[in-house]
Amino acid sequence: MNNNSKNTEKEIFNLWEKAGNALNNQQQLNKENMETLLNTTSSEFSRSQKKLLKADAIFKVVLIFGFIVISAFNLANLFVLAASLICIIIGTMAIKQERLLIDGLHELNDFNGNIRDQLEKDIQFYRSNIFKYPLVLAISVFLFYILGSLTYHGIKYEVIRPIEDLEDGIVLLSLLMISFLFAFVVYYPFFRTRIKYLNSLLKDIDQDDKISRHIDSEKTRKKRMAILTSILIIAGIVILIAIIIAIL
Amino acid sequence: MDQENKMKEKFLNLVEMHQGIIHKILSVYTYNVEDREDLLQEIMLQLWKSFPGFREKAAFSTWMYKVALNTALLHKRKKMKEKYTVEALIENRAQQIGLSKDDNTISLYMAIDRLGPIDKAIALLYLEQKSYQEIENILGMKKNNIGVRISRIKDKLKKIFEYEQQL
Repeated sequence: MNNNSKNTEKEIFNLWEKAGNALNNQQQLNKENMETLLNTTSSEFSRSQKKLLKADAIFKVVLIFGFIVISAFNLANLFVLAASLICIIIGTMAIKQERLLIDGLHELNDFNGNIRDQLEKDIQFYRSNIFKYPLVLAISVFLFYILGSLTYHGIKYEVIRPIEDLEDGIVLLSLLMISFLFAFVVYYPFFRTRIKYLNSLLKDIDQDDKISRHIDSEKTRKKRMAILTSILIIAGIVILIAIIIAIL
Repeated sequence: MDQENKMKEKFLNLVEMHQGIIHKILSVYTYNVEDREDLLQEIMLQLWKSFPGFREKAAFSTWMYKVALNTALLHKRKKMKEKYTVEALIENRAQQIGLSKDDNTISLYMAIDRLGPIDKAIALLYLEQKSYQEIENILGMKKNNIGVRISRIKDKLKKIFEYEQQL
């Protein structure tokens, strides 16, 4: 039975080697096709997120520029100036956060440690940004809505009136909440699934840690026992020799 | 620019020399040509992106295993293995490796296919006869843990392989 098992193991190694040779003969990478591969675009999760954030940051810059233009046309309108200034500040802050997220995603690609460390790094990043990510994207929707409303009022009525009652404020605030909720509903599942998958891989890596710790402590215990037994045997022999010498 | 060209040249030479690692990882983690091409592209891009962080002191092959395996583990497959019939899987495997469908190597791959993603990585490194130390460096698992896992994977592989051969 044991011999059979060893033969199977040997056969597995031989087959693996055979497969390796067959693969090497069939699929050769040369410098030319490797260069072509390096010029393609990646569809990997972190890279696609990076692209989305970059595109959104550009969109925000366009919106900020729109607020500057609308302010320039309404220099006497304090409401438009104040609203634009607030939106420009919010937009700039969001762009800054997007840059931090892009840097964070970029760091995920700097592979230095082992796979376990890398998984922990990925989980940590996605967990800590699970709310920030939809929020910065939602701000674009909000800014777009404000800029669109101001422009529409400016074109249709030629005068942009300030918010006069509480109702307008509530509607605006609700829109911010709805845009955040929308972005959250769209992006949260992606992050959740990603974190779940990364966690399952990490758990899989750590699966036998308890068993190995138990084996470790067992080995230490056995080592201690062996040392103690050796000391006792040596001591016993010494005492025995001493007794024999004393008798003689 | 010249510096970058030099670095690229060095990178391409090293990858060309160690390309067997990529082919083996692709053969274990993909089930069709389309996925294979996708993962190959991702691995190449990730290797190139991470290359500035590669420390000369470390063995290039160990570093390559780390990056390529990590990419394979995180790669989103277009079609999951479960969606294939056994016949289609055998057909794809034979085509991918370039051997006949009746070759015993296909049975070995069918056995590896039944392992989880991390176990596949351990099996691959074990079959590549990597030391426990190297496996620890690549995966970040403790040596004793590796021993336990390898012995379990070995048993599993043997059983499934023997069963596959009987079919």
